[in-house]
Amino acid sequence: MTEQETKWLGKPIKLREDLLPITGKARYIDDLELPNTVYMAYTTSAYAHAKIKKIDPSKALAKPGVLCVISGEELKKHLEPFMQIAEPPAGNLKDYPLAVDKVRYFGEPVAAVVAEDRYTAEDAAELVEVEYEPLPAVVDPEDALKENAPLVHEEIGSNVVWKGIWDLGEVDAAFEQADEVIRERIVFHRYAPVPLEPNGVLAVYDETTDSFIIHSVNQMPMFSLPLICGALKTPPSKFRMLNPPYVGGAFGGKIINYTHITLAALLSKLLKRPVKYIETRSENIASGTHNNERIFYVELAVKRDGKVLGAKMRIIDNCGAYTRYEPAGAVIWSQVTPGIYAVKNIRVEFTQVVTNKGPTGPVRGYSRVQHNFMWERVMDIVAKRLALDPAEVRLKNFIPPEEMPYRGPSHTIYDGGDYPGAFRKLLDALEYQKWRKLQEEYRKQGRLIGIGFSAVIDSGANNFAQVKIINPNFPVSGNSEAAMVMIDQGGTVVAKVGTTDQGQSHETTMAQLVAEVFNMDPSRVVVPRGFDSASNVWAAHSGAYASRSAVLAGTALFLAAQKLKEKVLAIASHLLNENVEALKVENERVVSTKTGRSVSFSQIALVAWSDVVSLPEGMEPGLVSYYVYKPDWKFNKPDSKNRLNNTLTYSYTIHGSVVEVDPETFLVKILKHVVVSDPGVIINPLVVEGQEIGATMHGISAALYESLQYDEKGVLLTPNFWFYTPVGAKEMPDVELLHHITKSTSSLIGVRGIGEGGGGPIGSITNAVEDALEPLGIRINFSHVSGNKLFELWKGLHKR
Amino acid sequence: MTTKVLEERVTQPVSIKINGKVYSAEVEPRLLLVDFIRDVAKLKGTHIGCDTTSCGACTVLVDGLSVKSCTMFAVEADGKEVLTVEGLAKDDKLHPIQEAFWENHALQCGYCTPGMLMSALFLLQRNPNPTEDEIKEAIAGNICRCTGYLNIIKAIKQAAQKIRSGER
Repeated sequence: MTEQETKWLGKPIKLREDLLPITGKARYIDDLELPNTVYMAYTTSAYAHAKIKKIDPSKALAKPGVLCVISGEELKKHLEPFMQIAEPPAGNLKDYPLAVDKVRYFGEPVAAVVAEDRYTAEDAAELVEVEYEPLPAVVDPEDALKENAPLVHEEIGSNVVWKGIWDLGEVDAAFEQADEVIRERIVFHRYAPVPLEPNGVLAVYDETTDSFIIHSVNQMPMFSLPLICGALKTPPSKFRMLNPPYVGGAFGGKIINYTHITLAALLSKLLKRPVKYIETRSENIASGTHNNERIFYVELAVKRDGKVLGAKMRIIDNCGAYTRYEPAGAVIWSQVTPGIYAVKNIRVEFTQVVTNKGPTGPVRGYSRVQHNFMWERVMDIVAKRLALDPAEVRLKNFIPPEEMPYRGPSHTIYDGGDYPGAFRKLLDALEYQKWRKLQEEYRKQGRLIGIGFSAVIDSGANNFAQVKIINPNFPVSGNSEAAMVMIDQGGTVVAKVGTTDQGQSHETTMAQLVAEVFNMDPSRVVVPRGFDSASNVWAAHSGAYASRSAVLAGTALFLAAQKLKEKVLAIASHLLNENVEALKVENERVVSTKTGRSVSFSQIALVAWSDVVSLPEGMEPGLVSYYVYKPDWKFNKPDSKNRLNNTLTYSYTIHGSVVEVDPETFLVKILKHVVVSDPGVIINPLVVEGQEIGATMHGISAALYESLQYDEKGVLLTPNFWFYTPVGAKEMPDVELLHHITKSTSSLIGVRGIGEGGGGPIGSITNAVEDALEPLGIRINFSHVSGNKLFELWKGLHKR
Repeated sequence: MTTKVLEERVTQPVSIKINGKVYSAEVEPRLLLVDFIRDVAKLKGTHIGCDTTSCGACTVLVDGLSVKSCTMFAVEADGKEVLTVEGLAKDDKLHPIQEAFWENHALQCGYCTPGMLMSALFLLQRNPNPTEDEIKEAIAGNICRCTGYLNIIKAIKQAAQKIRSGER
């Protein structure tokens, strides 16, 4: 499908889902009210690591309105620990919704209080008295590997969750041919997705059927269900999983909330009342979801002209206190093993450790943002070391368009694209040469100006067989998504998909896809909001994560619509007594191109649903089609070298930043930021550009403003929005966004996943900051460049 | 002002006019205005996004002044007039600010939107022709995690123009 061939794809159709939020009528989880609801609140730990000696709930229980207080110890009687991906010894880790025996991170829930109203529940949570015996904490991932390090989970026997080696291509030969070997240690910092709506759940136990109705904001309710029903020892058929019509953002931060869901479900069963829990912002920052912080020891074999021949990497990843989606992140980076570059010889030794920090989960660009950043930082280091232009070094190393589709060293297949072309477009739009000259002039005036690039890929629609690298027996692989298209008894076209929506505008997007197939006005296609496992379609992998919705749900819906169109045509052919070849579908009618006679969707629907003896002989009544789409990745399962194609599409984004650093405060100001992106076939440009600008903002915020800082005892120093400060309107720079479109060679409808964006600005900003600070000799080998941090570095250099 | 103890709780009668309608209730003096709006008046359009009065999702107008309603007690708003997002559209006709937000896709998840709209309204009531910097200043207390703010700024600019050209 190219733009010319489509009628509705690529059109900036005004988004129907925007109307309810602007009128205050959109309903989110906290807006749901059920009679008899009670409220849950947590007592949380002020220690990162401590034995729980005693929990005394008596004062809390004495408060009028309090129904119960539950501790981890008591929880063990009712729940199985959560399923683990890893095999033993790491698989021995015991994880419950509340701390058992000891606390393992600052802010960990220790007890839960349920009361008649939220104020009482929160008051009572403060009255629960917990006696702790503090233990030494381990916060640094390299310390966690030391012989005498405190153990976060004794049952593992060490702090190592998983360790694996990728030995791809001819690494030793590459290093023998190198003109130079460049060595660097690079650190990627910890931050949080902080969607503006925190996590929430409303769990309802139905005594009459011994089953649960779970309203939650989980991004993948059906994919999370095995974790929940496993812990509750209840079969999945006993759960009806729902999302409210609106969910207030997620960015990965609404996946590991299954701990709250499980606990609320249990309490609703014990109390026989609906139980509601809405996370506070402080709880969300401490324990909602963090991204993995990561340390890279990189060695690069390079030629003098900047060509990278090979790389060796020792990587240490800190997944925090519990493995709630981990160690998946320890392999997911291998979707982008060589980044965007044609480097074929790579050896990676990857170690993931637990520490006394908050639990991690998939944060926008999960596990790949770190890897992309590392490549972008080292490309600049190569340029500096060899006295080359960082733009030239990138152009020398990009995967060339003529080799597309390109098979990467870990067997991922890059689905087309023109990386050098997009990069050149960026150089023009950024006015690169002009800024280089200006930089020189400004430097003479004492102003610190820097220019930085970052070329990143966002892998979309993942293949879960990658977790078989960690545990070959883990029973999850591939990916699948379900869609249904129906023409109801009245002739209305209705479409459903199994993905959830946290602001990605699936309603309008999916309507456009169906309208394309049926050649009809998209505003007439009904797409129900929210998710309900009792009435929606779904597959086991269903959800919104890993930049998958347009690629997987979009394709499933497209195929379902095509299937239904065939049936519509077959019935019309029978009713009009004409060959299908002579018929066309337009504006909810089937029209004969020969006679001009036509039959409407509502007439066809009446025959299909109720006047069924008028159907063609042998045809099944009804006008509904269902499709579950499962892509073929070609290298579907990992081989002995851990190679597999673990993702379907690669959107790519080139970022260019021009920054100025204040020589006194070291605050960084972005003077210009340009983005060139290739999302493949665009369904709705408003949505695609919204995601691209949003992901750009997240990257800018991570590089300059957001950092979860802990002290040496593991106390979180940034526990609320006063100290953890997402970028605001005043700090957000203008962003010039351009497209450089090519069609995806892997996705059936040519789209690429674009939801996550690859974290591009983190690389371009840090590279620009180092470039700006060159006169001061400050080098950057980390991903967060706040004024504070730069000032500390400068002070350090000055002392010497 | 009378106070009385109910199940250990001191309560106080409060009457607040919200979007033209008076809501009266016996409330605890510590009840936040945002909880009065959401739980007593049952107007769910005003949202809560933080616990440190930082995010602005709960922004409303109290006697014409923009207020983060998590930072004011309901008893402080006794006898005052509150305008929330539900009061913006009149007879199903969208306010020009709402129209501009829709036309510019100035939202994604929509959670910050009611607060953004109220901050924008407060700005435009005082400054019908704001510069880009003035718009940024006006919404500096409102966090959006989806849009990157650019479409919001565009929308407020367009709304100002709509209002100036007499659409409302």
